[in-house]
Amino acid sequence: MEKLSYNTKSMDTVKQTTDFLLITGPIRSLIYPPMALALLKGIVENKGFNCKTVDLNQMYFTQCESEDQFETDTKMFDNKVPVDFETLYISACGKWITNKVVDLVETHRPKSIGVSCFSHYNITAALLILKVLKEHYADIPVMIGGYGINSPLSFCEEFGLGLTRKESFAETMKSNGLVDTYVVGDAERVMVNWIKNKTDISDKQHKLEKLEGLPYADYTDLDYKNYEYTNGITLPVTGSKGCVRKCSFCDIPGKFGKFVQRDGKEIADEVIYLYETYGAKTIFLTDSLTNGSMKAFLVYIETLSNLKHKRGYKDLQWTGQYIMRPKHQIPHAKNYYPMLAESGAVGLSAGVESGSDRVLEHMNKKCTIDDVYTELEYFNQHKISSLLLLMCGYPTETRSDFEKTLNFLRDIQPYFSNGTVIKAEVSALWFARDPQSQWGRMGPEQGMHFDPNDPKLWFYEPNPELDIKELVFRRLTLHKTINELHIPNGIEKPEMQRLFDYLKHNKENIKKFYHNIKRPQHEQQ
Amino acid sequence: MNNNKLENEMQRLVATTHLQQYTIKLELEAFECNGWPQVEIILNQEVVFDGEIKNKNTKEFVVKAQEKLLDIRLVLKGKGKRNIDFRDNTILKNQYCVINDIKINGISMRWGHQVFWEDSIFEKDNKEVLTKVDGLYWNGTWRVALQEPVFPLLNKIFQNKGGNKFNPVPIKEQHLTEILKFVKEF
Repeated sequence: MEKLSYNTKSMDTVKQTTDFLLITGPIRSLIYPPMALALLKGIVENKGFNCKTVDLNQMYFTQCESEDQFETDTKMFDNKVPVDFETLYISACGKWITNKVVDLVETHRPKSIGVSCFSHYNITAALLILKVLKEHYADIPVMIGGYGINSPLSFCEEFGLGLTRKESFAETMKSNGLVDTYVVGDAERVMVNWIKNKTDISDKQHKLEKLEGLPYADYTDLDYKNYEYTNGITLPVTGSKGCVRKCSFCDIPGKFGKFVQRDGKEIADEVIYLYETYGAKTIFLTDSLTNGSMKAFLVYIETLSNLKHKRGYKDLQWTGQYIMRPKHQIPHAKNYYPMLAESGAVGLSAGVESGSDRVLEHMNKKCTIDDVYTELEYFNQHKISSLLLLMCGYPTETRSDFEKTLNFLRDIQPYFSNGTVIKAEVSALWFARDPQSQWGRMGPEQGMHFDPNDPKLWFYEPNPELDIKELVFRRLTLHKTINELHIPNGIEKPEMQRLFDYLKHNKENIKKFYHNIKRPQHEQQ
Repeated sequence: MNNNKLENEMQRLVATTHLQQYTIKLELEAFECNGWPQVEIILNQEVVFDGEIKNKNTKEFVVKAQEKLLDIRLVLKGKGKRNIDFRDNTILKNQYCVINDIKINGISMRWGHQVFWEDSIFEKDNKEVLTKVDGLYWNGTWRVALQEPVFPLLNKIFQNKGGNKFNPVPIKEQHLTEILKFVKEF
């Protein structure tokens, strides 16, 4: 690693002024500020420590000349393609991060540092930050946290740092001495103790038993007015953690454990607080499902509707992930849809996944495609907008099932034309096997062959038509349909780039993988 | 499957995603004067209704999609002097029919889109053409013709109003070729 050109003073000779410096790096969506930073600042400062939070992702974005430049500069940090550390380090973004980290430590003299990884997209930048800290400030205790630390560092060997590879990024960093500890799960209750005592807290998963009573998030350090909001200042609020459902493809039940719901009234109060304090006109509920608990959800939307009406906050909206329930569960007696609309619900994001009831049943979605049509029609009538997520190539999806998904897109076209459905997106190219999902617990004995290093590379023997060729075919057909029907979409461009890159970089590995699969007997004959 | 076959199969599937029929709902409100308006409704050149419209009245029809246009026409017939009570330069009573809305597959063309106002014409029997008319006030034909495929174009117009933030972007031709080449090789 190239030496920095300026002096870095030894920490025992300078006055330390900040108890805790909390940083996050690229790559993360800029549609709202990182909640973890603001929430932990609120908690830490509530206990009498001072805390400085810094979002290097947003700071780097603001100094890029264009969105394209930001995308280009940060692409190598996406943990999707192999890159050697030296290339990262001398890249424009790498140099900028390095200088910024040193500058931050010199300015704030932290007694301890945390690096937050929202997702696996953040971990390459986190590695760079940790290397810089280790190189120049080895005496300062460092910890990492966030959902992303559970992900593996995809191309660990390719960095050329001689790192010993472990299952997760967190464990890789700890075993290679780049962090003192890490926090898996909820950091809210353990962070203050770590700042005080610096004891290792990586031995277990931390889980909040209740979400009530936590201090509100503090966004004052962040340049919260300058994110790439789609609808004015948008700030996040958490109403629940975990999920009430156990969809077979999803890692949430495995990673978050038992579902914990916050009191609906308290959520509504925080929404109002963020509107009044920061001028946040849109609130993003970070919940896996905002309406996981219908009881709390009804209290939330009723309280918020009343508060909005009472205080005249007509422009206050909220958005989040929403489950489409079977139609017999809709609480019409509670005046549900009018109240949902009055609470300011917009852009509710729903995982429809497939147009085939057969696949929905396999996924354990507990609703039918007819339920989805019903809910969308209510949304249409009450002017509630939504965003639909679809999945391509679920392991049991046949060509006929796939065609039903195309039919679904055909039939919901009218809703795109008046904004009832703002976007429909197909992400992750196709089904990606998550080790913490139900599919992650299946192996070749159950017919599920997979590459442990590539979640998109799998083959399910009971559905042999669905090989890589068919997966690519279906994904491209969806892409063409989206374009032909002019379906609004925010991610097709990067997804198609990703498909191209994926095939380009993994061609040999894919061939090798399929070559090694022992095909079912009947196919060989 | 070679590249052409693959692309043809893709195209075949994509073609199935165009709507083959539309449900047209006409929300009409008629006013009488010595009789109710006599209205003919013509969808894609086919007369689907011919008769009196009384008070608030909703008519719903299913019409097959055609290649070029979805053509919706409402014709007012037989209105004469006796159907207008005009005294002292004031219309005291009049026979007419207001088109409160036209919904295509549940989507309001009057309130959700500009096409109702921007793309419609009223052609009087005397060939005079009026624009931005919301009903049948004279003998003649109110018409709106929407280009097929209707909804992709309406989606485009809607996206355009919102600044084209979420417009889909097609894959680069070169990338598509290389991906198909990979599939072929596999």
